[in-house]
Amino acid sequence: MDLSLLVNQIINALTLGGIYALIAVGYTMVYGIIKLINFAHGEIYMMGAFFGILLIGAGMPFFLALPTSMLLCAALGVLVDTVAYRPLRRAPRLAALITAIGVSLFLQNLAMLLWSASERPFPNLYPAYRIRPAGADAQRYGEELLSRYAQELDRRREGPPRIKAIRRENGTLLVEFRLGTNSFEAIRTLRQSRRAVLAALEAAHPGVQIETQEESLDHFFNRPAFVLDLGDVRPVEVRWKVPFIWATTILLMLLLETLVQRTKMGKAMRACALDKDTAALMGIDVNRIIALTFAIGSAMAAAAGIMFGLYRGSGIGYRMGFQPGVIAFAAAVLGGIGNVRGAMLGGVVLGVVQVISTAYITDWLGISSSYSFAFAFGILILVILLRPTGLLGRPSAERA
Amino acid sequence: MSLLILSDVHAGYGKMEVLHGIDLYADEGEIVTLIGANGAGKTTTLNAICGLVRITEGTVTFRGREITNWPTKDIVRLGMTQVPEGRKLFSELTVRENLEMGAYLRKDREGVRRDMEYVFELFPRLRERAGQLAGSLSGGEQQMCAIARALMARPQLLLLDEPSLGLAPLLVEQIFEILQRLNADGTTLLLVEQNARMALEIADRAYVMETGRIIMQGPAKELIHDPRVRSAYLGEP
Repeated sequence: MDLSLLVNQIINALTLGGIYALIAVGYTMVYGIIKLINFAHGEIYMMGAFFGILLIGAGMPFFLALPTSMLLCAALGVLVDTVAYRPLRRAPRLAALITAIGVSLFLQNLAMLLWSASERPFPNLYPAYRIRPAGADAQRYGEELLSRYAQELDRRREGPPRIKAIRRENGTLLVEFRLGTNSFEAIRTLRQSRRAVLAALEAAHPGVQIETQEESLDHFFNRPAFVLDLGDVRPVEVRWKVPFIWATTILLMLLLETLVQRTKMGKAMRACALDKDTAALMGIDVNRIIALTFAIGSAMAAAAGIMFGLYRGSGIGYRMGFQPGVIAFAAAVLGGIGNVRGAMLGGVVLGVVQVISTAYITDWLGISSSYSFAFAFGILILVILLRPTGLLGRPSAERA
Repeated sequence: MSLLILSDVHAGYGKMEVLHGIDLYADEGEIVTLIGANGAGKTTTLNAICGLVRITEGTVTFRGREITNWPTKDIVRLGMTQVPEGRKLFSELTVRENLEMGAYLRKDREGVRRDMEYVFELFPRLRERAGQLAGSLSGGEQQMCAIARALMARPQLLLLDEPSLGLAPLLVEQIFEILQRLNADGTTLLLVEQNARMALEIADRAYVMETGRIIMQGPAKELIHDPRVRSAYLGEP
């Protein structure tokens, strides 16, 4: 067995599991409080990813775009609850369930209309290039080349694409484009400038032998955070974005746990989940608490959407919410629906099962890796058979 | 003016009307009891007052304001709370958390802390069990917890739905003593009971309900000697 591959897959599994867990808590909280399987939750995750890339595309720094997208999705979640679910609060549960499917389809189609049916990549978080002179006359004319290059780019400063900074750095030229520039636009601008510069240089010094090399630079998220030395086999390189996603996921989970367990609002949420009429008798505004539950769950899903995009680097499209939505729902059931810690555990378990079965089991059985979902759901069925309340769910402690 | 006035209240569930015109009042400082057989509409009356059951006709006035069909939370904010039938504790919250929920609308931390101390003195068992899940309490402890939770709101008017249900006689005595003590401290009580004898003994006035109507009313001391009440509700020949 390839140890490097295994370690890589474990890292992959935990990252994916964390993302599933973030989605699953939203399912489980909403189910806990209004007994609704909110099928539109996967679409909130999708909208979160879109909000994230659009905000970054508009030039907002990542660390601001993440909370902003979470806030936008929180508002969207409250809107969905108010418009679609609240009027059905006293209706049979099936009516709300079908409405949830309707909201899911509506949001998918809305996203398709707004942002087209094709998938989008995650934006380059640091669209910057380093330009080096090369060729036989690089020593002699390199400086001149870079000066002319800088002038040429300076003329194109107002874009599109907008150039943020042009700097000379020990024998190279560093060009930073504005956040949200895709590499295609950036490279085209560089290529046009290069052509003009080389032509001008050839005119000034006929027969000059010079070339340029443009190297794309990475955001620190894509640079190695640490390297795991595994002895004889290939070392495993872990990029910064992986510990970042882990840390953010754990932080969000801790915040949620504190909120639900320690704060007055969290206690009111748990009270509403247990008995809404009695909660109202305490003076609790039940509709407000339900709206807050949607807000929190949706914000978590938005964070998951952005982190998925950051991790994969691609695959942001109107249908991206369906599959993770179903898996996260399974995770919520696996952990014991209504139980926040259970959803976290279920998400991680299903992430691991899915990745390991994709990487090893399907291969070993000689079947398509698409069957990995069958393994994830197989585990779910098995757990539900053995423990109908899920891994951490427990039978109601109520006594007469 | 009376603290609580129900005037010709009709209410029910869906198309089924359960209350067919209830007239009732409670003055400040009184203990008023509502007795009657199962299904007479006693619980529905309390729930209609609290906004948990829709009133189709008639009005409820509390502290001089008409509160007919107000959202429950706003009625509670005005100073009324209910100890619901079957306790309805938040079973997976601890005893302390249940009490905190009782004080949900209050902002005076210091007062809440003092009242928590006060209910722990009323019900010492709850102090011992403060960290336990409410669902793990015995029936009597749950009833104490439900009353304590309602007290945490510092209500002017406390509605109690069958506080003696399913409790051992000794415990019933104890609960009723505490109710009298609360009343002496200034809380007005509207008490729904099947245990008519106990209720009539502590009440100032009483109403007798049958199939959604008030069929008798008067000072408790008089009703307790009324032959019809004695035969129908006190189990005497």
